[in-house]
Amino acid sequence: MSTWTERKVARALSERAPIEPPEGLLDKLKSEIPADVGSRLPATALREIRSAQVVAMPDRRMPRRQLRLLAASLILMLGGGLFALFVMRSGVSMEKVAEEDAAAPAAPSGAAAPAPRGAEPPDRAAEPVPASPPAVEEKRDQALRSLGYTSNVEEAPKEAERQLVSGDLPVLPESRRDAADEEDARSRVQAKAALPSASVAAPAPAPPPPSEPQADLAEEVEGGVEGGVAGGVVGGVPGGVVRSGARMEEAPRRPVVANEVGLDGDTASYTVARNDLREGRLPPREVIRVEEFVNHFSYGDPPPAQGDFALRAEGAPSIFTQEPRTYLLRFNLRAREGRTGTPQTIAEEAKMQVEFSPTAVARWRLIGSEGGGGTVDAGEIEAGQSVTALYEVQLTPRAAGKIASLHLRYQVPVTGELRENMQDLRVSDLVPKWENASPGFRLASLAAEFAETLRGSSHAGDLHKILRRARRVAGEMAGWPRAADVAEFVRLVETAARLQEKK
Amino acid sequence: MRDPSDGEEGRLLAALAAGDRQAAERLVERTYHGVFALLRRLCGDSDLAADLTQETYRKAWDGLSGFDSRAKFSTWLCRIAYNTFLNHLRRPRRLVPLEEKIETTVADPAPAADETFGQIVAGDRLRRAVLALPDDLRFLVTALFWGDLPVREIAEQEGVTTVAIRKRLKKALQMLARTLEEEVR
Repeated sequence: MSTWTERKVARALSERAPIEPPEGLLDKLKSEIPADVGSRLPATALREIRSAQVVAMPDRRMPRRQLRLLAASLILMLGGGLFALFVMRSGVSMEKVAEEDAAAPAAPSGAAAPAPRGAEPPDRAAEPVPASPPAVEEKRDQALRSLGYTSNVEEAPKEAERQLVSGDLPVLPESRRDAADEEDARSRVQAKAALPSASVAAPAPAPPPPSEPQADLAEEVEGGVEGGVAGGVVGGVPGGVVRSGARMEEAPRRPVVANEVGLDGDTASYTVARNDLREGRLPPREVIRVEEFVNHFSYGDPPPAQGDFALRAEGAPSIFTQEPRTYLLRFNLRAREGRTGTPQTIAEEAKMQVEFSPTAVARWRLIGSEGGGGTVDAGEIEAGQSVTALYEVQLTPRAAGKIASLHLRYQVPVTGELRENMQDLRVSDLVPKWENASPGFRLASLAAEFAETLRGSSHAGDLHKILRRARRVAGEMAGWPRAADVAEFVRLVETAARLQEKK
Repeated sequence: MRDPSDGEEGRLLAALAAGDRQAAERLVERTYHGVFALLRRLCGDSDLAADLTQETYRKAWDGLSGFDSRAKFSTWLCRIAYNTFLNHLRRPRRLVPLEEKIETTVADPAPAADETFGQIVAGDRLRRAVLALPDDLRFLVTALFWGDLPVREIAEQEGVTTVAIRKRLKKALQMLARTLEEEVR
């Protein structure tokens, strides 16, 4: 039986006898202070110090131990309250369902009745067709109900739970599609119910010939609204050399969980590379992990106005290739900020997955998948956490409607309630020109391209071009939160370009 | 981004920049205890820790032009102390005369003299396990537990988010638990 646990290690590290410096050490240190020490402070640090003094407040922070005890008490109180609420609401919903069963004459058309507790999921094929296409939120609610969730999502039937935990997604019935997804739907209905949770590794066919007509796709992209995110449109394909070996996967003919996005949140690779560049050397290729470069930065994704998570999706032409109909897609998950000021886990057993529409997407690759694809373990998400995933996709010539959807499935801590959030990305959301995409999108692309270049991969770019673009983005992001990171990124690219020239 | 609640340190740095030597002395008084304690826990020897503390401050004054105001001065010092210790490890060892070594042992007022043998051994094992961690995790553990730096300041120093720091900490504790468990077996 293991004697050393993480908790025990942490306690052992914290428990220590007080240490007193030897007598005379302080005097020695004071005597060694140089006479001109004041003039050695850099001007930038001095400005920061002076501006911080204006808002300086006395340090009223509680000792750490007291903070931890307070946090533990609050969590216990909250847990107890949530448990009591859960018990109460379970009782109330049972009564409500019993009343509805007694009073309701027949199931109304166009809406699924909440599933009674413990019941099997309703028979999807028997449900009537809605009179008009439902709104996005209604679609989401209907999707949840089809999994057997009640409107309060208190308890999911076992089947739905199994589906969620294993990452499988049931196929939505015909009645739940809108007109734009009609073609998708035909292939969905033919798909099996259980879907693989691992990355698809189907052999890639030869890409479609470049001379195929793109009129329909271009028209849909051009006709969109300016902006940047789910609804934004920017124009044109950037110039550049066509790079071979895109290593994109073909999207099979059925809806598939294309990839599970790691929620690790580690950015150590960027830190290591940054330290090396600061010290005047190129980092070794093997330490570079593209996804950790991408996830180092803040892209201005706002926290959710309500609820626990905000999901965001945007796309623009790829900077890695000049192949036709090839786009970069950025998906972001942003957790709400912590409420009590202490670290909070707001989701457990969380899985973030991207699903591509096989009729819209011909090929795809996850940028930063060189570290290993396949199934990703479910993880925890903490308050304030932000995760970004970048994909490169090649659309089919007649791609229309939905390209992809981002799914987040997780368990609420304490209550164990299962939840799902999703965000679609449509062709009309794509921006025609990379240069007019949101600053956050462009920064993410450049971070990825920089990492690929440091790795010397087949997607490596031109450091001077990356630098020019990065400077422009840094200028636009001046004044944003963590703008200093972007400014530093520019310096690092500059250093890397200089070092590369010397080689 | 500087922590606006640390007014005292800011005032001292501002006074220092204006040429007030007493402000520099006051800064040393505020920070030397933590620096010494960190080095003492890292190297396990009081005299060596005192030497490294002096070396840390010398490097800090020499490198003051590189002080990044994103982090607190004490956090920056912690980093220098840590690097000083690493540099010491990499230095070729000088031979210590036997007499000097005995003197050091007798004069050493380290708390370990009062500890049980089991505690000394366990503490030593833990210290070795920490020193065997990869660099980014090792600094995190020493700064957090032995340097008493809060997560937020370490995150600012490293230029990452607090979430990333907590994830690294979890990884570090897992590695330490594994290492210590293997030693027990």
